Amino acid sequence: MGTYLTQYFYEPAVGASILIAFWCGLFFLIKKVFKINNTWGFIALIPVVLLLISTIDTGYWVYYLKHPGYWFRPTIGFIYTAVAYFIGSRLNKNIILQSLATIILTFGGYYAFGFYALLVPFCMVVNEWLNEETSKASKSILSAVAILSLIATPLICYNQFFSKIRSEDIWLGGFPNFFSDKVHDLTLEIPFYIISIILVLMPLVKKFQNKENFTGTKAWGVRIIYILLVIVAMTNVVDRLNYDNYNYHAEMRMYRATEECRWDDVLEESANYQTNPTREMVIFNHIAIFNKGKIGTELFKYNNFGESPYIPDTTFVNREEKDANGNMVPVKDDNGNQIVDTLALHVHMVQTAGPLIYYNHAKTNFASRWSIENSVEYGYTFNELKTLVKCALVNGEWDVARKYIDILKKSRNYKEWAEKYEPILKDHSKIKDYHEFDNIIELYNHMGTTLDGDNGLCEMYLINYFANTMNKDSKLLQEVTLMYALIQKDIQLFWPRFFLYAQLHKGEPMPQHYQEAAFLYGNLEHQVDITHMPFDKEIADRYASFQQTSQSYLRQGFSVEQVRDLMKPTFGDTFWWFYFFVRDVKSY
Amino acid sequence: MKKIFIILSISLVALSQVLFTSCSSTPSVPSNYQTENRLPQITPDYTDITVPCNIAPMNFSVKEGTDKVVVRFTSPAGEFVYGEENNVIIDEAEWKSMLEASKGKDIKVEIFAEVEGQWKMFKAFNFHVAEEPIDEYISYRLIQPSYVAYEELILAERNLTTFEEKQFYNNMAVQTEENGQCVNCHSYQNYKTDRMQFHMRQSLGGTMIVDNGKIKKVNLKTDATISAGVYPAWHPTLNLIAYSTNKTGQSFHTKDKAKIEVQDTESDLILYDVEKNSVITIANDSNELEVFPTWAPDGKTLYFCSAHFEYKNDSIAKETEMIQRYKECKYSLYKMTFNEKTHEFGPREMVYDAASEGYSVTLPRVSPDGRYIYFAQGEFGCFHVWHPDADILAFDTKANEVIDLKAVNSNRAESYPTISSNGRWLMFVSRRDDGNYTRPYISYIDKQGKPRKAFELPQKDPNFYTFFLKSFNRPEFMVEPVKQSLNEFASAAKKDAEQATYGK
Repeated sequence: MGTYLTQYFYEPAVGASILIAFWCGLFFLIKKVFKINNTWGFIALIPVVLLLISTIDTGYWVYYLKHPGYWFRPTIGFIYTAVAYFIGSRLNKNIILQSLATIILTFGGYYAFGFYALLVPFCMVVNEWLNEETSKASKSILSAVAILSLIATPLICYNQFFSKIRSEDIWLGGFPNFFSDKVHDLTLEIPFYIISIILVLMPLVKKFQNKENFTGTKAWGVRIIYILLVIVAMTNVVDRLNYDNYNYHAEMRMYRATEECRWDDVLEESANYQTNPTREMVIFNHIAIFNKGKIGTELFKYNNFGESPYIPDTTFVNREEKDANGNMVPVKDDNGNQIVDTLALHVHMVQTAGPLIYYNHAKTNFASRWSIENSVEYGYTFNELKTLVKCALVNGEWDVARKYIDILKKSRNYKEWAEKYEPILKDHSKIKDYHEFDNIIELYNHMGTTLDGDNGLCEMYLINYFANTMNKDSKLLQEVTLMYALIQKDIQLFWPRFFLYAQLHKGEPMPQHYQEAAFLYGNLEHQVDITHMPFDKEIADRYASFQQTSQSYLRQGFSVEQVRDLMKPTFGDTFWWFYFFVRDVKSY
Repeated sequence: MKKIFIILSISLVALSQVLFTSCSSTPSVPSNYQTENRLPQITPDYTDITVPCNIAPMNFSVKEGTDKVVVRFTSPAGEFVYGEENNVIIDEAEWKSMLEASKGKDIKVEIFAEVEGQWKMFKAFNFHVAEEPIDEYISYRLIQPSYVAYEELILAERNLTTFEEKQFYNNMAVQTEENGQCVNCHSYQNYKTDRMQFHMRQSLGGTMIVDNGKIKKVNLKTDATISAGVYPAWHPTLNLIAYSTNKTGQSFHTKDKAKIEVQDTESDLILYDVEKNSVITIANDSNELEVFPTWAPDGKTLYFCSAHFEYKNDSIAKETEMIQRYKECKYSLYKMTFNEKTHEFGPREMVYDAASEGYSVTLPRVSPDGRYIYFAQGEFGCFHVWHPDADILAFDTKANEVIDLKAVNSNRAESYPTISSNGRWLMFVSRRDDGNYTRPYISYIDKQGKPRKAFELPQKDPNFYTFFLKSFNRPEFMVEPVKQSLNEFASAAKKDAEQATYGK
């Protein structure tokens, strides 16, 4: 159900409205079920606030979270807890019926919703023990039944019904956890623990609010506790809201624009970078540039510095190393204290946008591979399925394209998208009418096949592959190889690709960046005689100016970083500036 | 109270009438129709196939662009009509009665479809019902067609007479995340499950052995062997398992439809004595890559594949050289005699020199009468499941010749052949559906050793294979179900493995 509802986020307002409706329902349900009066009504709001916290900013966890329907599942789970408690607590006049209900609601609920159902017997026991009208015998029987239900339910489900849960995890089956590699982000799990505790203790509120003598200091004590809880929760909100990372959102916009071949929109994003972009954004920019046919004139116009995504450290891990016997032992500092490392979620480009990036470089096998690897690891997404469709169409694998199209046609939001490509399945030659494939097929048809591997580093692979490729049959592929030779800053690779470009583009003006590179390399290493090359006067003059300015700044004692920043306004759009100052770029 | 009871009773009766009517209504065969002189488009393609007399209903979907479909089955047990939608779901009891009455005979299938207001009748086809049953169970690994990553790997058994499927191992019940566990190569002694095994790699790795109902986990990697046991073969009667040991690597085709290449850079054969918990070497020639052992039914011969491969360049890693020369790696079929008393093997003898003919054979399986050796053959390498040119072939030991089983093959990869305990049913996996997902196919082998058209393992939902995103891997016939539960295996998997010793 959570997964089903998640698809309504295709229209963000619709998804958000449904989620808000569920939260409103949960608020009123808690208030009603636990009989909380208006004075104390704000307490019923705490779980909703915490659920809001759990959803507003998971950041890059959206790529790594293994909890399908995450946005709705906990809400639905806690609604079940409240409803089941309501049913069970209404049967308190008959202990046999109530015990039976406890067993059924716990068992049935755990099978369907997981962990949330295990809160039901807790709530009921707390409620009955606070109920002065319930006999001690009934309280004892219900407690025994509740304990039995709590222990037996997960064990029975584990042994009889469940096949993919570890025995040690059965008590938290269905609970959202934020594990990836060695990182365990507890901060994102805390809201769910707090909600669970609040629901279990909610009968206390009913008890205290009904007590006539619950006034003065006691009342204030309880109020203070709740206010503190709200402060903790809201602090968490603020903390979460602080993760307002521009690049995170820009990456997503650029992904969508790239997927839809809206190259101008990609370039517009590139022109509006607020900080250094991520490497992924830089690659999207390069893809847009080569699709616009502007490698020679715009490749270095945009910020080519690229960083890893910003992700806060959230996990503390005791540092360990292998001893002589190969056993892991703790590492301590000079004072004998355990060294603790902080870890952040490891984000890899192959898992966020690798398939789309590979696809746009016509590396369709690698795009398919990472689409499937990511789907295997984190579940199929529409993004992956769409990439798989396009790769299959480019590869001419019509039957598997049909399979993925059939799957997408079953979806609520992607039916139309899938049907758009169906004519190609009936008449393969129609792919020519779909101009989005033109450049991909051009690249694809002119690349050979080889046995290779990317070691999980998409960008490095693409740079190495294309920079080392030569092709004279496709102007597009040839220019992409020249582009990557420039990015690689490899003089030996540059010259043959430069001359081949000149040969393939006889009579055409040599683009700015290629002239800049030739002029620089010719002057740096005199392997090629450039004296007879017809450089634009502007290039030669600007290079001289670049040299003079940089030397002048260095003579004045500025550091390289300072020179870089000082020269950026004037020369930031040149290959020279990229060559000398864009260094130590780390891919991921 | 009485009133309520009456109302409830009336409602129940009315409801049951509605249900009864809807369940028992039989669509009528159209009286006016045009005849189409072609077979109908159905998936899976079950036209003119031979089926076992105990197989589950062969449900299929009619793909003629309409939902208005009527299908008439005519058998010695009578006529049965289904339809009103394009998915043909055959009633299990009626199907059983048809099979029972049609042993050695045909069930005629006529399909009518209303297209653009006009009913059409397509060329009829038959299910020929073989007199020989198929083994009641098969087991397989369910795996996503990924390359490096894996999340959930399942070993499951399927009852072929029904649609019941049961998992007996799921790696998610053992380890997850960075401690993930790979599972592979389940194998049984002589089609029975009292003795069975499978292997687990990485976290909590080891080989799971079931010996007369008891589960133990062993570590077959010793200082004298290159890895733990990989491809297994239980001796048909003795408590011995022959394994290959392999150093395996993989790399990726940048454009080729094969997508991935898996190569062994080293490969030997070992024999594991289950009772003694010890291994000995069967073959470990450094210039030979010996792999895929399989026993003859009498247990006196061990067949295996071997590729002659000499590394020529000391300056690069073996893995690198293998990637550079992967097409030179071609496996032929060999055998060794085996002395059941002394556990000694004779010298290797060539059975089928595939390499000389430009081919590479893998995964041999011997028919119960010992006459035919089925195998997967491709142009090169040992991982034919990703090679589109790979086909299933057989070697006739009596005629000493290779038989091309054209009826079972397609222009896409076929691999993992296995033969039923009565020798009449050949099962294998094929990527023929879409090129990407392997599906189990079964073919009848007649008494002359000739195969009939293969059919895809039937599923309750005829569109199951379209929407199922896992591959079927290493299907094996069994005459009985696995007796241990998933949780029993999971508990055993979490224990430390017993270290096997090397030598007698």
